[in-house]
Amino acid sequence: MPFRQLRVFMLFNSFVFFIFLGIVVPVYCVLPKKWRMIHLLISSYLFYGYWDWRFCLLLAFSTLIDFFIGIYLYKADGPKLRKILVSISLFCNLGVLGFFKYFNFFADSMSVMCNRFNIHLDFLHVNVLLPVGVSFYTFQALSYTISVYRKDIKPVRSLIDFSVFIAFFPQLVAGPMERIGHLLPQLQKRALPTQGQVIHAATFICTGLFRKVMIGDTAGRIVDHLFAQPKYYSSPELLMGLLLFSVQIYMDFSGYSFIAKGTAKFFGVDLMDNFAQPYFSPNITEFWRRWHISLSTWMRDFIYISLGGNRKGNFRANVNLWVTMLLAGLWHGAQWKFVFWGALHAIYITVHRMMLTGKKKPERYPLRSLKNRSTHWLKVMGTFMLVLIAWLLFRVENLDSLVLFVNKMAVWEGSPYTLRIVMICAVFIGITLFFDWVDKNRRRIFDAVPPYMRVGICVAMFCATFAYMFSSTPMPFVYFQF
Amino acid sequence: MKKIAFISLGILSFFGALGLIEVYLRVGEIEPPLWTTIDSTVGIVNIPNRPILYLSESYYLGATNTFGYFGAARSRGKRPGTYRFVLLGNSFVSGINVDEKYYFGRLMETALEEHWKKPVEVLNFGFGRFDLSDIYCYYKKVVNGFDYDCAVFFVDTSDFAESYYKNMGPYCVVKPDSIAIVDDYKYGGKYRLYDNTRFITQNSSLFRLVFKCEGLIATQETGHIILDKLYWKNPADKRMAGTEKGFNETTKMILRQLAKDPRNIIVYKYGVPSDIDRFIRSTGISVYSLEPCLNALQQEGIDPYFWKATKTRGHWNHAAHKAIGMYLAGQLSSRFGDDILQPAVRK
Repeated sequence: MPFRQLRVFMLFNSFVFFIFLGIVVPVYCVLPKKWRMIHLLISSYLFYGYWDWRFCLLLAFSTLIDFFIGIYLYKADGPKLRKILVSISLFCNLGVLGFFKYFNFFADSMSVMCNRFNIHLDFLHVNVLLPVGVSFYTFQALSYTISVYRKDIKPVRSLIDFSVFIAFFPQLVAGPMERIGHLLPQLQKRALPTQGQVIHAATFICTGLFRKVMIGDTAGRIVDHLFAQPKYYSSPELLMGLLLFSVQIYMDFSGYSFIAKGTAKFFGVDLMDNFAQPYFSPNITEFWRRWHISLSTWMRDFIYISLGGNRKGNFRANVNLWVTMLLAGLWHGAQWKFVFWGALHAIYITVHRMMLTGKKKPERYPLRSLKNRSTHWLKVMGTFMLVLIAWLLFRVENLDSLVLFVNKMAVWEGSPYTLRIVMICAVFIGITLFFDWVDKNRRRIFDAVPPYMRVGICVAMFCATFAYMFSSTPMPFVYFQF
Repeated sequence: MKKIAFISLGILSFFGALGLIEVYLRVGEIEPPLWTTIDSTVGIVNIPNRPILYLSESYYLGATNTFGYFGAARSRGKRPGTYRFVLLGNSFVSGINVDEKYYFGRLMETALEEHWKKPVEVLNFGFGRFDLSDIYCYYKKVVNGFDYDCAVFFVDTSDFAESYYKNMGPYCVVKPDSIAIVDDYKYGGKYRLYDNTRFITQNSSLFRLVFKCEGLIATQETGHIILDKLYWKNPADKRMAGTEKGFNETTKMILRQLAKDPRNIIVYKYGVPSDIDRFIRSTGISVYSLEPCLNALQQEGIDPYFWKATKTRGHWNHAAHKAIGMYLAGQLSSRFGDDILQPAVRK
C-alpha cells in the first residue's frame, strides 16, 4: 500500500481543517467584538499560508492594490483619472492572474506555432506554481474595484475589513465569489452565530462533506483512472467515466460550496448559493443560471453587460455572448480544451436563443398538465445530454484521448460487466438527484423532520464520511486548480 | 418519557441512515465488501464468484471465478494435451491492477499457445500481501489440489522476510529435514470472534471501512492522517523496519522443499542480493529473473511501476504486464520447447 501523501492545502475534507475550525470558531466567539475581524484576518491568512506562506504576499498585494485604488477612485473627479486608476487595478490583478495562470499557456501556444517556422521559443516556458484560488480572489477583488468605478458602491475605509472581505477563508480558495455589498456588511456586524445558524452550519457541513467525500471523490477515483488511459477500458466503462465525471464535478464543487456556506455561518455570515439543481435545467440558458452562479453572474455583470449586453442588437448580443463564454472557458484553466468547452456552450446558447426568437413567453406553471410535464422532463434530459457532451471536452486529457473516446463510442466494445456498470451509474446519478431534491426542498424537509431525527441522520453521515476520509487519501477539490 | 422517545427516534434514524449508506456503498461498489475470507484450514482465501471493484494505483472491475482465483475458471483437473502453468506470488502476481486481458499471465498464455500450437492454461494464484511462507502454505493447501505442469513462484527480497501485515492463517515451522504447516490459528480467540461475526464482517461495506481504519491505526498512521504535515514523525520508518528481518532458516527450508519438485521454478520479480541468489541456485531449482525485462523497459523510458492516473509508483502497470508476459513466454517456451510435446515431468 503506498504511503499517504501529504496534503498540500488545508482541504475542507481533511481532519486538519476540522481541528483548525475547532480552534478558530470558539476563539472568535470568546473574543471581544473589536478583535473579531483581526482574528478572522489572521485565521484566513493562516489557512491560506498552510500551503505556502509566500503566496500570502500575493494575496496581500492584490488586497492592498484594490483597497487603495478603491479609495482614490472615489476621490478622483475626472473620468480620465478614474479610467487610469481602474486600468491599474485591472493590470495588476489580471497581471498576477495572467502570469501565474496563463503565461505558459500563451508562451507554449506561441512556441508551438513558431516551431513550424523553425523558430524556437521554448525558453519562454517558466516553471511557476499556480497559487490556489487565485482566479477566485482576483475576480472578487476586481468586482469591488469595478463597482466603485461604476459608482455602484462606496469604497471600504477599513483596510482590515477589506482584507477580510478578500481573504475570508470559507470562500477564499474556491468561492462562491461574493460581492462586497453582500458579504462585507455581514462581516462588519462581527455577530456571533445564532442557534439556528449553528444548526444550519452543522447540517451544511455534514451534507457538503458527504457530497464531496462520499459521492464526488468516490466517483472521481474511478473517473481519474478511466480518463488517464482510456485505451485500456471498454466502451461501457468509458461511458460510465463520463457520467461519473458529471456527478463528480457537480458534487465536488457543490459539496465545497456547502461546506463553505456552513463554515461561514459559524461567523454569522450567510454566503450566496452557488448552485440551484443545475442538472434539472430544461434548457442550456437555464443551466447557466443554476451552475456556478457566482461565476456566471460575475461574467454577466462585468463582461457581458460591460460589452453592451443585449442593448446593441441581436448580432452584437451574440458576439458578446461568445466573448463571455470563451473567457468563462479560459477562466477554468489555461488549456485549449477549456476554450473549446466554452465555445461549445456558446454554440448551445446561441442556438437556444435562435430557437426562442419569435416564440411566445413560456407558461408560468408549465408542469400542471401531464403533457407539459413529460415535455419538461424530456427537455431536462436533452439539456443534460448536451452538458454531458461538453463535459467530455472539459475532462479529456488531450486530443488523442478525445478521438479514442469517440471511437470507442462509435465502435462499441462491450464489457462482461455491463450490468454492474449500469448499476454503478444508476446509484451515482440517483444519489445526486436525491441530494438535489433534498436541497431544493430543504426548508420544507428541515421543518418536517424532527430535530432528533436530523441529528441521528447527520451523525451517521459524519461517521461514515470520517471513516472514509480516514481510510483513503483525500482528493483535492476539482475547482482548486482553477 | 417524551425525551426518551425523541432519543430513541434519534438512534433509530442513526441506524436507518447507516443502513442506507451501506446500501449506497455496496450497490454503487464504492466500498464493496471484502472478497476474501478466512478458512479454518487454508487461512485467507478468495470468496468464489465475488464481484470486485478495486481502486489502488489503478482501476479494476472484475470478479473471482467459481474456484476463487482470478481469471477464467479452470477446473482442478486439466484436459489431456493441455499444458498448465500455475502462478504464485503476492499482489504483483494476482495483478488486479489491470483488466484480465492485459494481465501478464493471460498474455503469456496466448503467446505460448501461438508458439506451441497447443492449448495452454495459466492459472493465477497470486494473493495480495503474501510472503514466501504464505505462498508456500497456499501452494500446499490449495494449489496442490489442481493438476498442473509447472508452478511458477514469483519472489523478491521482501518476500523472504515475514510480511508486515500478518493475517490469521497457517504458518511454517522448520523440522530437522522438512517443514511443517501449523494451522493452530483456528483455536485462537481472534479467529473465533471472526468466525462468529463472519456473516456481517464479510458482507458489510461499512465494516470493511471500519477494518481499513483499524488497519491504519494498527500501522500507527493515525497521527499522520489527522495532523497531516503538522505531524512530526515519519510513518515510513516503522513500516520499513518490518520487511528487513532477513533470509531466515524457514525461508531456506521452504526453498529447499520447492526445489524437490522439478515442476517448480522461481522467478525473481526483480533482482535479489547475490548471496541469496547463490543459495537459491544451489538448491537446484530453475531460476529466472524479470530484471532484464524491466530494465529494458526502463531504458525505453517507460517506468514499469508508474501509474498515470494517480501519478504514483506501485505495482506493474499495463506496459510492464505486456513486457513480462512476452518475456516469460519467450523464456518458458525455450525451456519447455522439447518437453512440451511429451508428457511433462511428473511428481
